[in-house]
Amino acid sequence: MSEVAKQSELNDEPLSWLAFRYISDEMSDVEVADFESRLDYDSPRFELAACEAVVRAVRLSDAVVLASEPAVPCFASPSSLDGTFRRDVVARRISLLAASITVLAVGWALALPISSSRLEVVDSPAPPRAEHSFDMSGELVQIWASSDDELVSPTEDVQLLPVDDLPEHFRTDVPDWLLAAVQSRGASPTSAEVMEN
Amino acid sequence: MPNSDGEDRIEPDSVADLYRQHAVEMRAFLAGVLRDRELADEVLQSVFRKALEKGHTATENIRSWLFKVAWNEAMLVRRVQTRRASGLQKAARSRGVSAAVPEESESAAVRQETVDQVRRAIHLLPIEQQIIVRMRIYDEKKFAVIAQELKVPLGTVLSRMRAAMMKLEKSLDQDFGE
Repeated sequence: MSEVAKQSELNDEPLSWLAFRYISDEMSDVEVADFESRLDYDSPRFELAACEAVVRAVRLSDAVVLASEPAVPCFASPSSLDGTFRRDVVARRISLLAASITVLAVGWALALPISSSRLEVVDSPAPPRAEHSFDMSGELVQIWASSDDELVSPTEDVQLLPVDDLPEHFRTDVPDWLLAAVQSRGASPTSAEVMEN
Repeated sequence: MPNSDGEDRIEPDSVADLYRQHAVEMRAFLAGVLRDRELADEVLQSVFRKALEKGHTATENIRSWLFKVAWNEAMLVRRVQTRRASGLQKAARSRGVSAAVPEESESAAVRQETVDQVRRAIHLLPIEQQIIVRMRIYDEKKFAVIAQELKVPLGTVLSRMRAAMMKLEKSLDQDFGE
């Protein structure tokens, strides 16, 4: 009989303690045979409680093993563990910061076209001023073009004065809209003559 | 309990339910009896295969029946293992290597919250009990070796370990009593 078995004889062994010794291989052969007769369903000594005690002993042992696992490798000394741990923490923080900056940069880059397109939409009231001025120019061109026939009719025998003969106050700079209208009309000989003269 | 096909078999869905309810417990039981996790997993499969084939013949409580099948299957495997091991040991001795396989220390049967609870419970133990618990369970040292290393009587080691286990078990009663 093993020394552990002898010592155990001195105590009234609770089932859980027996189960723990059984799974830990800390029983004599006699004790093992005795305990296993309590696990064997076909034995008259079968106890469901003994099976449950084995289950509990295994689970408790597993939990103790996992709870005792060191958080860091065991081969490092305590001082180097602290250093390793701190280095790990610093490295992780730097990585996290770098990743955050990258994500922000990418996000900003992606968001930029969207926001500028939004700005275009938001700022859309401003362009109408240009459009309006363009429309006004168009109107002026149309008015001028429609009045052109009234002013200068090819059928009328009008004696046009040469530009050089015009008084100084008549010789003004030609506005852009007028030039545009002339160019759009293109082939009107009368207007061409007017412009040339 | 014939299934929907009229065969004398337990319904596969019922076996799946049985597995969900009892697999963790049966696996721990088999690991305790066989002291080998991989082997316990293999035997667990055959236990539930038996449940599928012969579960309908169970006259007793199904949980007791599963313990019975698990025990019988474990004994069958252990006998085969003993025969195979003696052959392997002979071969290993002739090659000068050990056939011992280190037992896996982790178990899926233990949840993280259980581990945390045990860790807290261990910290509440007197330091001399904590040392013995660690030496016996984590370092896997025999009680006799622990007594030698700590230069205390074996009876002291046993009583400290036993007291510690009782306390740890009590602190986990709620968790394990599922």
